[in-house]
Amino acid sequence: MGTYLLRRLLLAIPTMVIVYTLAFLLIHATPGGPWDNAEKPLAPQVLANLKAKYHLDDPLWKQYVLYLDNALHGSLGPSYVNTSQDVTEIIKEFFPVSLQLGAAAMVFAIAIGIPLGTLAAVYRNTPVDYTAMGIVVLGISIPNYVMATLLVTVFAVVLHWIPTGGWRGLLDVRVLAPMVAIGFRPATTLARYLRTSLLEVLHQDYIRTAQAKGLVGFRVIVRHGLKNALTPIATVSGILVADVITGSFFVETITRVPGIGRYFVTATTGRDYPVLLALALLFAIIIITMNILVDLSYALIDPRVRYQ
Amino acid sequence: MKLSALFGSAVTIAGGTGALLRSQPAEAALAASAKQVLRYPDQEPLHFDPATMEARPEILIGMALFDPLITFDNNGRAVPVAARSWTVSPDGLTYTFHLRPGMKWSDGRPVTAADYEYAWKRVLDPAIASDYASAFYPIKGALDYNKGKVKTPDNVAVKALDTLTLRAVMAAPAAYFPRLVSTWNYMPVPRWQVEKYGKKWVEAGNHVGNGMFTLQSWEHDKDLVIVANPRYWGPKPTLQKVVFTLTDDPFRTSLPAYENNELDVTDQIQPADIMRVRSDPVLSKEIHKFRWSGTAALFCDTTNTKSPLSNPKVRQALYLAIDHTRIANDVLRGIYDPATTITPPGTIGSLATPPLTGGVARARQLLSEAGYPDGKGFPGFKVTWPKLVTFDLVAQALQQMWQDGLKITVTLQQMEPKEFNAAFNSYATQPYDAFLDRWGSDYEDPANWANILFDSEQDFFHTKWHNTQYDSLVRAGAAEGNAAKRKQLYESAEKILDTELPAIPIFHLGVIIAVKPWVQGFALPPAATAWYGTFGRVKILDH
Repeated sequence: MGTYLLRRLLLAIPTMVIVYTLAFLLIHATPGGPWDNAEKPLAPQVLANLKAKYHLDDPLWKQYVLYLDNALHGSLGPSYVNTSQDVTEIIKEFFPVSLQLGAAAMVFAIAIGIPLGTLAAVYRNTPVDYTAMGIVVLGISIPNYVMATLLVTVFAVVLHWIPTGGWRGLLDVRVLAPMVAIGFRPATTLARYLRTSLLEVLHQDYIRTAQAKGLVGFRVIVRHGLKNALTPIATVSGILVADVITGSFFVETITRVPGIGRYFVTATTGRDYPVLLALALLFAIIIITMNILVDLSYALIDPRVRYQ
Repeated sequence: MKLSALFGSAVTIAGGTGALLRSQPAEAALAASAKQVLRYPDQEPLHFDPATMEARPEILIGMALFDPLITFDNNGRAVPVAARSWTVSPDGLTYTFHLRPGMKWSDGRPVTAADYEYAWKRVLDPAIASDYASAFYPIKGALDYNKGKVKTPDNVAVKALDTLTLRAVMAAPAAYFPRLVSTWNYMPVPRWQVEKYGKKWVEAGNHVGNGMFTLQSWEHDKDLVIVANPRYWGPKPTLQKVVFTLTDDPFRTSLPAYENNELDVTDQIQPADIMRVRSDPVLSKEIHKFRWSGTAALFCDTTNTKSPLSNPKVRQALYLAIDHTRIANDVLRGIYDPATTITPPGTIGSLATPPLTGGVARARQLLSEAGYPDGKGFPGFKVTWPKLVTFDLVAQALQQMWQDGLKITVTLQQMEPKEFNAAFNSYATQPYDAFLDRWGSDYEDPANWANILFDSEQDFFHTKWHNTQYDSLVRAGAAEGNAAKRKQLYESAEKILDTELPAIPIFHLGVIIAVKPWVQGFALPPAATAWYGTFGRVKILDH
């Protein structure tokens, strides 16, 4: 297990280099630069001052090396847009919020998705199954920002049960709308995968054996069925977690959550190169970590899986 | 400024022209001091450093935190703020400002002329790389220092003669200099805080100002609070506190929050909401329309011989074939006003009636004179614009109007904003046909319009238009100290501009917001620099 983990971690290095290189090239190939802003007359001298300040007048290869070197030494550079903050500060301040919200959304997704998928599989082709799958179709077809808007309109503007937005940590009522908005779709994704996987498992001989031996009802399903149906769920969960903890620009904007999600968009539209590069690297690290965790979790779920 | 930073997203589809009421229950009593709180939406400001502030989120708060030397009232008269008086030498070159005695920074230090001298020279420091350094170029020696030709600011002609006297010498007469002095970049900076905290001096706790309000707290991307400054020299405001809810998109999120009574004022009401707002029994009584000093226009490359737009007659025909009222009232649903001249109302040089008239009939005639009778043989041209709902709609309406009125075909190309900006910058040297864009006043003076935008040496919008008479009129206007003569010079220039039409005016800007009935005295200013004093005028009524 230790050697396996080490090998995976070493493999992550070339992956990160490729991600950095591609991100760097794409960012610099995109038309328009950070100060191609037609907001006001930027005197040529002012532009030259700005470029010199941020080393953008250096050749591209030099910028490539410079940023990488700084990043390896823990400095992700200044933000061109939020000039009073460094990229490291932006990530430190806003990523934890997205992380917490994402974790809450994932817990919500599991709490809804697993029972929903199980019910659909057990009561296959009955009204229970149809209802569950109806909810799944809703979850897949309603984008999270529509969901967020609906929740805010109904529960805040019409019913006045919750505020329209804001963030005061996980224990505040304000977390509900963004949590449900972000978690609903993953919940239905989990339910759909679980239904398929559980149906397959429930037709296996060992389930029939268990039933033949007189075990009944949910005990069979939970102890013998569900556990064995979880492998594909672990696979999709990895991607889902990476997706929800990096924040949703739209949901965070609509519900006024100070998360990292908006920086993925504002950095792109603002051509904030250091923020873009840092976020690309952050996203890559999260995906790689989740993939490793998923692979390790197989060993826990399935006794046949061994890592040497 | 080109405005997107000010009133960011698009304004469009509204319904009818519902009555805009400004009802204020006159007899209601003022709320108690503890309840003198205004809840206001804003985007996350970048910082409150006068040297590099440039967009609405920081300007509207920043101008409450610092006092400029002077400001201007709605009638264009200069009003003293931190300067009790000022004089201009007869040759128009030397400005001497006399500061009020006894003013204090929010940390108790005295406000001195040296604070202004430091702040002004700091904007010009190449290391600060301020986008607005060019606003200081009229000052003698400023350009050389900002360009790095000289390494020290010693030759920049700004000097604190004593603790309360500041002198600035111009490179050439600039009658609009007081207007520049009223902008945010000319506000003072507490040197000791900058030197102590570096770029972190703008954070709550480190921030020190000399304005009517002071920064109490700032939780990034959440909320920001300013409170009445107890050390302020001037009249104490009734309003004690402003709580800004910071969000990435106040244009969309402020209305639901306002309806749920979490905010007292909305941001610009969005196209998708305006019909509902106008038909809502409560909201319809709370909306207010404000003028925003600005103009949207079709800017043309006047030297591109491959484009028919290089012919002034074609531009005149296009202009006359536009139904400006229909664009403002139907296409843009009354949020904006029709513009038949470039310089907007409120700025010297603005004309009450345009020099060109005659409508579509005259337009057809002009097109025929240009060599395209009935649109025959017209080569067509391409219109580009940065993605914005307003422009998307206007572009299609123009295409249709020109097709119907002149029987000519126009190609449309919408661009992603940064992509457009890169294209826009290339237009300085590359030929193009035409693009839609808009300009909003930093300060309401023709120096911020005619001189920057259409003087052939500045040519901000790259129309490459060159008219010797126009150039000499606006240059004389910039230097002219006599108000009546100045007005005359700029009006003559505007007539040339609106006849030759390097830019075809389409609509003047405006904003519609909702304000709770208990908020008294709140008005959106017509230009960025006029944010000064906005919150000081607000009173909260008992509710």
